[in-house]
Amino acid sequence: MNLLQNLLKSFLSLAQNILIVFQKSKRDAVVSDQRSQEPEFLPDEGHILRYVKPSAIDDGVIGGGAFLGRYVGDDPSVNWVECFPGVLNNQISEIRKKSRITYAATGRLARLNIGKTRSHVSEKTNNEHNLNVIKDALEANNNYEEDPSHALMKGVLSVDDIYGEFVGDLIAECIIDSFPAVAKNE
Amino acid sequence: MGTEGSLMIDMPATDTGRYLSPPSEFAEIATIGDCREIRSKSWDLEYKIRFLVDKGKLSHKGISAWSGNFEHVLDTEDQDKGLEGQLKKERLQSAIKERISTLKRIGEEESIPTSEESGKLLIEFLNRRTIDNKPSIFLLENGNFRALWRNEKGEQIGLQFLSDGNIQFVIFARRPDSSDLARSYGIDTPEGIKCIIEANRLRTLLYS
Repeated sequence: MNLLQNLLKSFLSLAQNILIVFQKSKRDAVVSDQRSQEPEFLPDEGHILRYVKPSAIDDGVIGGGAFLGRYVGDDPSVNWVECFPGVLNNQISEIRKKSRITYAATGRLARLNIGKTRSHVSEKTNNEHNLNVIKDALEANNNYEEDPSHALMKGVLSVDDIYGEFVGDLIAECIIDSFPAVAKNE
Repeated sequence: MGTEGSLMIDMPATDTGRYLSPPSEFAEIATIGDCREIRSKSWDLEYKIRFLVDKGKLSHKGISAWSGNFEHVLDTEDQDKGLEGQLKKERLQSAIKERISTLKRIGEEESIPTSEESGKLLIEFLNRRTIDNKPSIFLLENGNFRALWRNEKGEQIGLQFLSDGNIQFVIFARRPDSSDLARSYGIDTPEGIKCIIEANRLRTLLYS
């Protein structure tokens, strides 16, 4: 009986080890795949929209906090305007339609030029800080259609960082204009 | 010590070293004779302020920009404003409290827990300074409140009220000898923030 129990224990242990090795190799493969994918930078002449929550707006004024990550390593989401054809209104309408978060009625979509924002941040930090906007298209899933305009602002720091708050204010200086996050007729 | 003809000979520099020279408007109104007369009578800052103000040679702003003793000057200014100033202050306080209350509600909707300490510090700061101009107030993702004053020249005072009693600032200020803005950031105590605002000549953002 004891022999049988020991045999069973050994078998279970072996199976567990095989499973761990399998999972690790699978994880390594995913990481390696991600590393091999070079980030696709959005062009400087392009524009992005950043959704600004009501907490970051006061009487039309948008604070630099709207462009910061919630924590270290959190890259703020933006949408690439020129991803969609047509005039600006149509482009904004497409971005609203594909949004995966529910925009608040009093929220805004702040528009920035990629190149001007990047150069402003770089210049005002004596070239010590580089900002980039990379493509991060979202694939369709059971709940949402694909969103090819989704992108990430890289190089933005978190709200708890003193330097981050400074960079957030530099970005806020580059806001061209802003639009209601929820269209009146939608 | 400082050079003859400047009030530096009377006043010790602050420990921060930020105010090593008097502002130009001060230098213009305080003569060498004034310096000697003050020095011979008292080292007391309040005496110096009263002496020059009484002689009509110094505006409150002039001395406050250099001396670092802003509380005294601000109190005097507040008294000067009288009833109108008091009403304005009450209206501002009411608007600030309403805004904080709105942000707390928004925070609940956005799942941001608000920091009570940060809110208290903000109200305390604005009340003590008898500030005239209402700032834009935001709720940050970390639950702290942030006040922002901006003008059409691109100057700004951005203050995040931290829960430990300090204030994180981002300041953009114009300099008379430069077309670009001087930009600075950091953390300081509420008293230190007053000095920074004065040193950057940004009082006009706070007071109408």
